[in-house]
Amino acid sequence: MNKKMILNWNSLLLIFLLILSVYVISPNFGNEGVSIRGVEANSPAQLAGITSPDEETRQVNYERIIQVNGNEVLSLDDYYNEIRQSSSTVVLTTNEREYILQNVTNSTGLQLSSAHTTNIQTGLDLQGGTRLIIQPDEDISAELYEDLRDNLEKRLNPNGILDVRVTNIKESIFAPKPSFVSIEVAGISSDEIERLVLRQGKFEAKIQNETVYDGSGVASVNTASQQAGIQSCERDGSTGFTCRFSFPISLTPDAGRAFGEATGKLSIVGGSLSAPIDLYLDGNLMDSLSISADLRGRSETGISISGSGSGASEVVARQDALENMKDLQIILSTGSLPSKISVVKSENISATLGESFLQNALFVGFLATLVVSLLVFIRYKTPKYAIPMILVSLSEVVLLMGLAVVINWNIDLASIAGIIIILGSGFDHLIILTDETRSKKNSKQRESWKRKFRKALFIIMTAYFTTVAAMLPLGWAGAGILRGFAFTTIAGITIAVLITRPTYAKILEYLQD
Amino acid sequence: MKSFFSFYEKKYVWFTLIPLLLLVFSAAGLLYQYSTHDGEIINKGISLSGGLSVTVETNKEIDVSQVETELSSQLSSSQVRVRTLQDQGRIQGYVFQSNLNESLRDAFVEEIKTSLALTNEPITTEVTQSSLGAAFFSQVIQGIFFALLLMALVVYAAFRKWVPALAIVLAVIIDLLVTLTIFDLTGQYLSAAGVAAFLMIIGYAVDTNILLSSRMLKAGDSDINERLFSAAKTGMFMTVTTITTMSVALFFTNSEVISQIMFILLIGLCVDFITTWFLNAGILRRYILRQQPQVVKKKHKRSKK
Repeated sequence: MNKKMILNWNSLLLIFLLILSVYVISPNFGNEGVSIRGVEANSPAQLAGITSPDEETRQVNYERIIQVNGNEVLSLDDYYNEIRQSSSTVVLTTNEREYILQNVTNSTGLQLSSAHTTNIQTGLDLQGGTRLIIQPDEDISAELYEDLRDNLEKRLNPNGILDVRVTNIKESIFAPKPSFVSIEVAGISSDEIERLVLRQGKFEAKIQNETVYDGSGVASVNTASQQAGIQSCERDGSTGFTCRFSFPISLTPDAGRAFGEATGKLSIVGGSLSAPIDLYLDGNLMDSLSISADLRGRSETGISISGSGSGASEVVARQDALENMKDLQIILSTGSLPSKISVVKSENISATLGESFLQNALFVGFLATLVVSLLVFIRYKTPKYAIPMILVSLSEVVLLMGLAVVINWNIDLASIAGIIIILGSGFDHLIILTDETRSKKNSKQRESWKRKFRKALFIIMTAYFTTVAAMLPLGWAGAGILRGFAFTTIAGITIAVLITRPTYAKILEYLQD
Repeated sequence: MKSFFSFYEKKYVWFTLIPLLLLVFSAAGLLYQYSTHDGEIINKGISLSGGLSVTVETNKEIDVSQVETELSSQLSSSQVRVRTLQDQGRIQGYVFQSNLNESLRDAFVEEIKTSLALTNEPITTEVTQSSLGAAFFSQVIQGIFFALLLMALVVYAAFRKWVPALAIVLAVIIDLLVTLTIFDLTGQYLSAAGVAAFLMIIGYAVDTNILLSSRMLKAGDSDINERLFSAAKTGMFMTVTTITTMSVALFFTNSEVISQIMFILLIGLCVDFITTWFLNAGILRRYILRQQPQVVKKKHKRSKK
């Protein structure tokens, strides 16, 4: 072992970057239980005092649930089993304190994932959750795509406390504007999301088929429980129950004036006006309210919105009505989407499946490295090359993970395939370097080391540019569904040609002296 | 080794015919596929053609083909395919795929639940519209052409000679077509992730082919057999390590995504082995002998000694 092998610029840079990567990844393999990523507003969990992690908290430091009702939970599977068996009062013990959740019916309102042992963010296919790729039905401008994204984000995350990612996606790097919007939400079912996303939310209030005001006339939606809630429940035939809800909204002064003008034209019939005000959502009549006579011609900025929910029992009907009310409140307060939208891809991935993928992938990566190292050892009949090769290949992976953490990149299943492939091609290039620079006994004139290194580098760089060229289109094709793969591969081989392979070459130079 | 080289020296043109025969086989295979699969040269999986995929996590043992026919008959006018998910021999669950319309997702899930008598098992669903798959596919095809073109330019810029550049492009095209044909023959359905594997074949094929071209064309004054031999020693070892990595991943993975990528790469690497060492090596040999006859003379001089 030559001191120079480590005390040269390449090796020192690599070591420095490795330390930096490990620092940002901050592995903490002792973390057990399930991590809390987010808490839904007004859910049993929030009422018990559980809060979402703030933005500065790195995921290894998220609060973790370690016991449910006194029983240890090691995985999401354990957690859901315990919740399923629990009564409506659930005692959650976290690594920080104990919470008592009351009235838990079907969900605690927590967004969870397996305990994070590193800061590497995993994709939905590894942690579970819902991904929708949507496309506006109309051709809309780049600014409207921004509006669409902001609006969808507000609908899905009205209180800004859940782990929701809404991003616009271009069809190619050169495209002037996006073509898709991707929505990723960890740990929430796709039905819930589709209910909120798929409605355009185009609100119209009409009197005698004339639009009086639309969604832009809604100034605010009152969600306070004193005024908003269930009005009545009654048996609906012999099969079930129907509950009605209502909540007030305030209109802008302009919309109020328009209401005054429109009602001024109506006549008084009995105690109310000759025509009702009809409220439409996305072209469907939602409610038809009769207007009391004293409002005629008056600029009125308060109005009550109502609707219903149904179910087999009163409890279910009540819950359905409350859910519908919440959806409607969110849709009215966020306003109309710039266009109707359709879902082009929807995935709802169970968290336990992802967990098993991740464990397996780690095992596969480890095994593959081991077997290849063995081959290298057998071929060169000395650990002299095999050991630096393994170290260099593994550091490629560590640097890549460090980069992923720094730029908030999600490692998904396809990225893992990319990493295995980088490991494979990494060994290929290290073998080229080794073979090109090993002195050939038979050749008459021994080429200078630099010349040999340049030849090896030429092969590596040509292969590099070709691979990047092949991967680039994948970054955008089909709403970027393989972006993870393309990015990981490009980033991985770039790190390799810039940092790790030159370091290996340097080590070789001293090895062969 | 010597006798092999003297045999190879005389008959190397015949060796180049093997990859060309593979190309003919591939053309025939793809034509057959085209005529028997409604004008499709690829069996597209649901992430490319649109449809539903439902994954159920359970360790129940089921009769896959029976469930397949049962579900297909219940959900009329649709084909249901069922595959088993395994992790080191243990059953982990099943993947159900169908070309059903997205609106039937819930019905599909219900049918599966009833037919497997499931209760609370975790379920994963994936719905893809055919428009997205089609757009993805056509963009990737464009991408492959772009990559091939760029590759030809990079190789030309590197060697300043057209024959070696075109030889590599030809080798890569044969790699892609023959791999696709073999993949079709296995009856598997190509997913979006599998498409990525085809692009990776380009990357791997370039590795060995550039190594070969560089050693053959830039080897100073060494003998042509020596050049080929040294390239083969390195290149074949590279292929062996890569094939090993892919095989380990293919054998031990429990993910459909990774398994398909590795499977396609494995076929591609085997095909590339043939195109690199039989086709590209042959073309380069003939090219060098025509351009630089001194390489042969030198060899004769040495053998006289």
